Amino acid sequence: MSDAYGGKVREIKRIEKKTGEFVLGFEDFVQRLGEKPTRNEVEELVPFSGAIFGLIESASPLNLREEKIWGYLSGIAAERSSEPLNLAAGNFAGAEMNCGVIVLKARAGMKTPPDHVGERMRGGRIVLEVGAGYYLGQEMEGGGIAAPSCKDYAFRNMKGGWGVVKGDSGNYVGVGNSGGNILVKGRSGLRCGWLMHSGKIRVNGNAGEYLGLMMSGGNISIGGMAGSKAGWRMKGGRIVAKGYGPEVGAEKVGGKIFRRTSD
Amino acid sequence: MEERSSEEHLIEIWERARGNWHRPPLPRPRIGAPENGEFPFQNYHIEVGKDDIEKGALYIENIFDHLIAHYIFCPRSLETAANLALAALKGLEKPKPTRAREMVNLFSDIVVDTFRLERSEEDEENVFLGWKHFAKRGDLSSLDEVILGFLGRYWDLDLPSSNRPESEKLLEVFGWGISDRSKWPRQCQQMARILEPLEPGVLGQGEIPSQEGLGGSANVAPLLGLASDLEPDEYRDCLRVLGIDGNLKRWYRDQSYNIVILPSRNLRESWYPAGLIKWRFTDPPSELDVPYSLSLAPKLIPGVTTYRREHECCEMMAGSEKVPDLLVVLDSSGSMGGHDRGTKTHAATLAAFKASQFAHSQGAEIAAISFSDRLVFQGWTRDLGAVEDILVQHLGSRTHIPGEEILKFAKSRKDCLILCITDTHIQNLYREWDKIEEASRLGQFVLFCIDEANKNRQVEDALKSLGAVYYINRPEDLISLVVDTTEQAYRAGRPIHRQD
Amino acid sequence: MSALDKIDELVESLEELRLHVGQNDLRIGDRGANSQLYFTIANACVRNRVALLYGGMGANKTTLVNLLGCAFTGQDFDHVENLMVTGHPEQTEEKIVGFIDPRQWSCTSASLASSGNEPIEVLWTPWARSQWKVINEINRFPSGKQNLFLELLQKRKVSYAGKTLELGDTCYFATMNPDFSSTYPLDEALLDRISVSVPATQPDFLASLALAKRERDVWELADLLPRLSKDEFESLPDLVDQVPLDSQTELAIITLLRDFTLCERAPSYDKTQLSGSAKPSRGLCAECHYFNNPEVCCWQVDEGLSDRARQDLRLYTKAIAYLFRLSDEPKIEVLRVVAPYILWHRVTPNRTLLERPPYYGAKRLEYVRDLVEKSINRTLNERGEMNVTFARAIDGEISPEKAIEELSEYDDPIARLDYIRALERML
Repeated sequence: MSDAYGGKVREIKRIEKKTGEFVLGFEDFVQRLGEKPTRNEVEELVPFSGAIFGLIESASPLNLREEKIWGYLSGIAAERSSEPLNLAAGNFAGAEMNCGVIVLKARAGMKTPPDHVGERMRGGRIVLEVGAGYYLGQEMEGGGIAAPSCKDYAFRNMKGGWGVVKGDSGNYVGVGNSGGNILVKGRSGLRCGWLMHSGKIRVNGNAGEYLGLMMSGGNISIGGMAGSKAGWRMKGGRIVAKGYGPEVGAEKVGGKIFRRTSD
Repeated sequence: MEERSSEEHLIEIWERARGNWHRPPLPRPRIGAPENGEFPFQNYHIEVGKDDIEKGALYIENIFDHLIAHYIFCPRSLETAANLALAALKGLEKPKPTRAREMVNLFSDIVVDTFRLERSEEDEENVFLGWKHFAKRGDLSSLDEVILGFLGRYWDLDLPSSNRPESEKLLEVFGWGISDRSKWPRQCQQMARILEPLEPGVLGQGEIPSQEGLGGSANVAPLLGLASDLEPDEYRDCLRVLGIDGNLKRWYRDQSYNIVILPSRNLRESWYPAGLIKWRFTDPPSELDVPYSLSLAPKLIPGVTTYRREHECCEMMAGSEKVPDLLVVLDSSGSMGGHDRGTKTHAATLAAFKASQFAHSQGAEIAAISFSDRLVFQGWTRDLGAVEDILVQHLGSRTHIPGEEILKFAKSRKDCLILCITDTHIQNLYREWDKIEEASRLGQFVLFCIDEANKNRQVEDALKSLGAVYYINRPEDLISLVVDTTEQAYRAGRPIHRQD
Repeated sequence: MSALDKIDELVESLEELRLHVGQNDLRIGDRGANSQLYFTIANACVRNRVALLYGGMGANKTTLVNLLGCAFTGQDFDHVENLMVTGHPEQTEEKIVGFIDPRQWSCTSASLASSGNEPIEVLWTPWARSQWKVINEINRFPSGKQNLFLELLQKRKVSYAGKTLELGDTCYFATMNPDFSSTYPLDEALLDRISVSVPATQPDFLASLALAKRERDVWELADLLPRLSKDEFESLPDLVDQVPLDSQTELAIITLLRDFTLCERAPSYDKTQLSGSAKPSRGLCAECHYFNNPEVCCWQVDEGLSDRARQDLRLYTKAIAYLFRLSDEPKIEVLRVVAPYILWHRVTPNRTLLERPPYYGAKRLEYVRDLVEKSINRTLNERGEMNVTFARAIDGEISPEKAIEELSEYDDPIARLDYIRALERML
C-alpha cells in the first residue's frame, strides 16, 4: 500500500482535528434539538465552556423555534455569567431565566422591537435600552424587567417579580395577573389590569378605557385620569385614580373604586 | 519565439505538477490574464498570468499544484461550489455576490492548501514556499494579514502573525479539519461571517474553479438541490456568485431534472426458429427441415426421421411510433400566487416544464398557452426553450380560460394531449364551454384543478364530460399527477380514460 | 522488426491507405490514438475476450475488424469476411456452429477406417473453427441465439449433437447497432461477458476528406496491409502479459470495482446480489446516507461489477500500455483512459443523472468516465491515510481495534463496509 502512494501519505497526522459533536455556531446547535425543545433540553446540550457566548453572538434565528432556542440560550448564558450580559436585542431574550443580568441593546438593522422578552422568567434582571415589543415579561414568576417603553400585553399572566416601563405602555398591561408589581411611568393603553387576580399596577400618567375590566383582586393606582368604563364588571380589588371617564364601575359586583383627592 | 519557449517550459512544469496528482485529465494551461470572476464563455481553460511565470519554476509548479487540487478536491464540482456560494451568502450580513465569491475562493484556498500540506512533507514545503512568497507582498490588506496569521498558527509554520481576534475565530472554524465535505458549507458560512467586516485584499479574487467550468458545461449544469430549496431571486444570486446568469427558466428547469418520467420501452413480439422437433404428417410440408432430417438418417420416415423447427418468441425493439403532440394550457392569473416556492404557480409551472421536456424527448411537438384575462402563446414547435419562455410568464389578474385558442390548437393537431392546469376560479367557463368541449373531442383533454376545497359540484360534473379531471388539494400533488398522466399518454399512445 | 513495430506499421498503413481514418480520441500523455482502432487491436493482442464495436450504420465496424483479421491471421480479406456470422432471426445453430455430416450415410465404416478417418459425425462451420471470430450485428440475434454465444464464451468449447469442439485461444469481436427497430435487447449476462465496448463514430470532416481520396476498393487495398506471422500473432498475449502493473494501478482497479459494487443495503453489501425491483433506480437508496452524495458511486449505477471486470481492467490496461509502448511507466493514466470502455456497457446509469446536462440521456460513456475519474481521484488523493491504516493493521503494525477506531472517522463506503468488516473478523 505504501508503494502505491509513493511516500505521499503521512503515517502521523500533520494537523490534529477536533472530534465530537460538530457545533460551529447556532445553526448546528438548533439542528440537534427537536421541533419544540424545552429549556431543559436546550440546557443539556449547551456546552459548559465560553462557547455559549459564541453561539448567542453568531445566531440569526430564522423562525419562531430558533428564536425560542436563542431566548433560552440567552437566559442560560446570563445565569453562567458573573457580569451583566450585553446582547443585541432579540425575541424571547431571557426566556425562563433564573438569575443573572441581561442588558439588551439595539440590534443593527432591527425593524421591529423585540417581543416576548423575559417570558416566564423566574429570577434575575433584564434591562432594555430599546423599546420592548409585545408580550414583555409574559407569565413571569420572579425577577425584574425595566424597559423604556413597550407594546401590548406587557406582563400578561404575571405571577411574581416586578416590571418597570419608563415611558408609555401599550394596551392590556398586566392582563390576567396573579401577582407581581408593575410600574408604568408614562401612560397606559386600554384594559390595563383586565382579569387581574392579585398584584399591583401603578400608572403615573393616564390610563385608557376599561381600566381593571373584570378584575377580581389586586391594586391599580393611576396618577392621572382613567378612561371610560373603569372597573367595568369588577368583582374585587381596588382602583384609585385622579378622575374617571363616564360609566365608571358599571355592572360592578365587588371591589372598590376611589378618586384621589391629593397627589 | 520567446513566448513559445515559455509555453513549452510551462507545459513541462504542468506535466510535472499533473504527475504529482496522478495525472488527472485536465487541459493544459495557457498564458493570459485570468478574468475577474466573470465566466469565460469562449475559452474554458486554466490561465496563468505572465507575472507569475517570471517568479520561477518552483513557484509555478506550486500554483499548478494548488490549481489542480481545486479541480480534483475543492470545490471540484459546480454543485459543491454552489453550496459554498450559498453558505457564504448566508454568512454575510450584506450578501453581495462579489463578496461571497471572495469568501468561497478564500475558503477553498485554505482547504486546498491544508489538504496539500497534510499529504506529504514535500507538498508542505511547496505550500510554505507559496505563502511565504505571498507574505512578502507590500499590498496586503487586513483580511490578507488575518489569513496569514491564522494559517501560520493552524499549520504551525513561520508566517507573519496577526493579533486580530478573527485569526483566533478562524482556528475554531477550521479546527474540525477540512477532509469532511459535509462540514464545508457551515465552515464557509462561519468564515464569511467572521471575515466580512475586514476589507478585501489580494486573496479571494478571480473566478471560482470547477470541473464543469473547465468542461464548458457550467452554464447548463443543473444545481438541483439548490433550485428546489431557494426562491428564484436567491437562486439567481447564488449563480451570480459563480459567475453564471440565472433566470426563472433555469430555476424551473433545474428543478425539473429531479422529476423522473419513465418512458415505456417500445417492444414487440418476434418469433424465431429454435430447436428441432419431430415433423408429422399433420404439420405443413413447408415446415419440414429436409437437410437436417437427412443428416440424421438416409431416409425420410414421417414422424420418425423427419424434423421441423420449433419457434420461440422473444421481445424485439419496435422502433419509433407516432406520439401525441402536447398542448400545455397554464393558468397564470393572480390567484395562482406567482413564482415563489410553494405557490400554485410554482407547482403548475414545474409540472408543465417536466411534461414538456418529456414530450419533447419522445419526439412530440409542443405548444403552450399562458392565460389570465389575456394570454400569450407559443405555436407548435420543437423549440423547447420557446415553450419554456411562455410557461414562466406570470400575467396576474383574473382567470379567463381561452377556449378559442385551445380549439384552434386542437384543430391543427388531432389527438394531441391537452394538459390544462388551473385553480377553479375560472370566470368565463360557461361562455367558453362549447369551444372547450369541441377541443376535448379533437384531442385528449386533461384538466388539473388546484383547489379541491372550493370545487363546485355542478361544475365538477360538467367538467367530467370533457375528459379526465383531477382535483388537487396540495400543489405538490400536482406534479406527481401530471407525471402519471404524461407517462400514461406516451405509453404506446394509449389514450387517457375519461372519468365516468 | 518486432510484433509491436509491425502493429505500428499496420496502423500507419490503415491510415495511409485510407482504410481507417478516425479521430485521436484516446489520449495518453502526449500521444493520441483512435479508440476504435486501438481497442480492436488490443483485443487482437489478448485471447478469449470479446470486444464490441458499437455504433451507427457505416461506421467502419465490420470492415475494420475484418481488415485486422487479415493482418493478424495472414488470411485473405474475402476469407476473413466469409468467417463472420451475421445476426438475423433466421440464423440457426446449424448455420452458426455446425451440423451432422450427411455423408455418414453414403460412406461405409470400413472405407472410412481404411482412409484413416474417424466416422465423420459433425461438420463444424469455418466460423466455429476459426481463431478469429466475428459476430456481426449481435443484437439482431434473438435472445435464444444470444445464449449460444454465452455458452461458447463461458465454456470455450462448442457442443453439437454430443460432439465437442475445443475452441482454443480465440479472438472474439462483435459489432452492434444502437437499438434500431428489428434489434433485440442484449442479455445482461452476455453484456458482462463482453470485455470492452468501443463506440464506432462516423468520420469527422478531415477524415471524410481523406476517405474521399481513396480510389480503390477495400478488398484490393487489404492485400497491401502488413501481415503478422503466425508466431508473432501467437506471441502477443505473452508480450501483453509481461507488461507490469504498478501497485498504484492495481489499487485503483480494486477500489474502482468496490466503489461500484458496495451497497449498504444489498445482501453481503454486494450489488451483484440484487435482483428484480431492488435496485438503486427503483428506490433502494431512499433515505440512505450515501444517496445524493456526488462523491459516492454506488447509487449512481444499478449494477455491481464482477471479478471479470477486474480481470478485463488489468488485461486491457496492459494491452493498451503495450501498444503505447508504456511498459516501464506508471499505468494509472492508461487505466483512467481504458476503464470507461470496460465498464460502461455493464452498468445502467441513474436515469435522473443521465438525463441532465451534460449527458442529456445519451452520453453513457462520458457518464461512466466521470464516475471512474471520481473513484480514481478519491483513491489516490483522499484515501491514502485510510488505506495505509488498513494495510498497517493487516500487516500487524497496529492492532485491529486501533485501526477500526481510526477508520470509523472516515465516511467512506470502503472503510465502513470493507475495511472495518475485515478487521472485525480479525478480532
